[in-house]
Amino acid sequence: MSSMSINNTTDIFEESHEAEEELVELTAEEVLKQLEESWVNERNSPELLEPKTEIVECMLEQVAVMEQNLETLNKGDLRIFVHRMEISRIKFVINSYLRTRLDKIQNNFLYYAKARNSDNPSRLSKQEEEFLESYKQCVGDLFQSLCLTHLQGDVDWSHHKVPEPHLQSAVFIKVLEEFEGLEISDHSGGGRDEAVDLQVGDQRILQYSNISKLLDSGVVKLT
Amino acid sequence: MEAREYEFMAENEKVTILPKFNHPTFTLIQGDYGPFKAGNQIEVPLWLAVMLRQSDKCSIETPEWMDVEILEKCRDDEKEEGTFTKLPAKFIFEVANILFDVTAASIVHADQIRSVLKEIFDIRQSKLRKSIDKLITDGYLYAKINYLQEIELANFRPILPHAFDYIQRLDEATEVAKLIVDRSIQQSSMSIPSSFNNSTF
Repeated sequence: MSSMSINNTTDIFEESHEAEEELVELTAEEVLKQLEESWVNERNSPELLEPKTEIVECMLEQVAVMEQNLETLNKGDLRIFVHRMEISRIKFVINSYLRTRLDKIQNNFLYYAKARNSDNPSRLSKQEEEFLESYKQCVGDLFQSLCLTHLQGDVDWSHHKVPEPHLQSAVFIKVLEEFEGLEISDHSGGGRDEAVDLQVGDQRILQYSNISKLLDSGVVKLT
Repeated sequence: MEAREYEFMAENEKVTILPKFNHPTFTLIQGDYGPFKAGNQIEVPLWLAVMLRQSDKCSIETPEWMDVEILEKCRDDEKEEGTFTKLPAKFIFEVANILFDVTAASIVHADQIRSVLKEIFDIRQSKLRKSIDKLITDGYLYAKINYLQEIELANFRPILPHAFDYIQRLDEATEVAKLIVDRSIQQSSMSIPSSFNNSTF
């Protein structure tokens, strides 16, 4: 009888050259929770967030191992249905997460294609960069063949303003860590600027730009 | 995010079941559940409970909070409080919905519970409507919505952030327009003396 044990502790951060990075061990359950949280954050935010490639890869590995193990079981075993259901759920979350990111990249591809520097690091994974390049190429070719070749004269498009994601969108947040003095700035210059204290468990609606840094550092999450 | 996706998340909540079969532990990625012994209660995620129930391998125990008295007290608290009260369970509406779908027959006073839950939901929705109205008309930049469940916002989610955005954009545009008008008034008031000088008497 084959046993269904999987390795429930997975190292998701490997030792690197940087001295600050610690070796962090998380159980598969915790990685799954983080994946779900990243998924919700990505679904609700107007701009592309940090890519959680390690988490996605770790879960994909777990799923692959699980599917391999399932091959060895007899047909009709109850375990097959249960594990397959769980695998479908995990795959759904990963799919939705990656597709949401691709949607955001596609809708604002010129913005994300702009040159990145240390102030503004790129938030695309390697595959997403490739996708962006080929998408930009395709759209460029399409516009070229459809109308640009028929226009007279040379037009330089590189100085035009590109559409950006709307960072002032309203979002709903849930506070995970206490934070004092969050600045709410009034972009319409109406002088409604304020500083607010956040308690754990608070839920708020406010503009995304005010909390984007807190979201990155894990003080709040979107809901 | 849509209501269906919140329901998906609610399916991770734990419920107690009474299995009708024996089985060693399931080592799932999200944790170990088991061993299952017929007649011994065990806690599992809701999606697993529903799956087992639908293949008639278990019965689902009604959660503690799904009791007419407890819910009626919640409803009365909700009526009295101006803000939202803390509900007895996370994802209370989704879990209740799913349980009614799958195992209504085994829930005591199912109809009464259903109607009390609906009343609680309606009271909270009307509170939400009033406070959103206040948020927009009074021009606040943020609002506190503690103890509000994610799914209650589902009705408002498509439109509220957009309405909020547009009002902010209109405010910004108004400010810019004001600046332009002010500047042009200043410029035109500066040019009048010079035309005086040019005229000859």
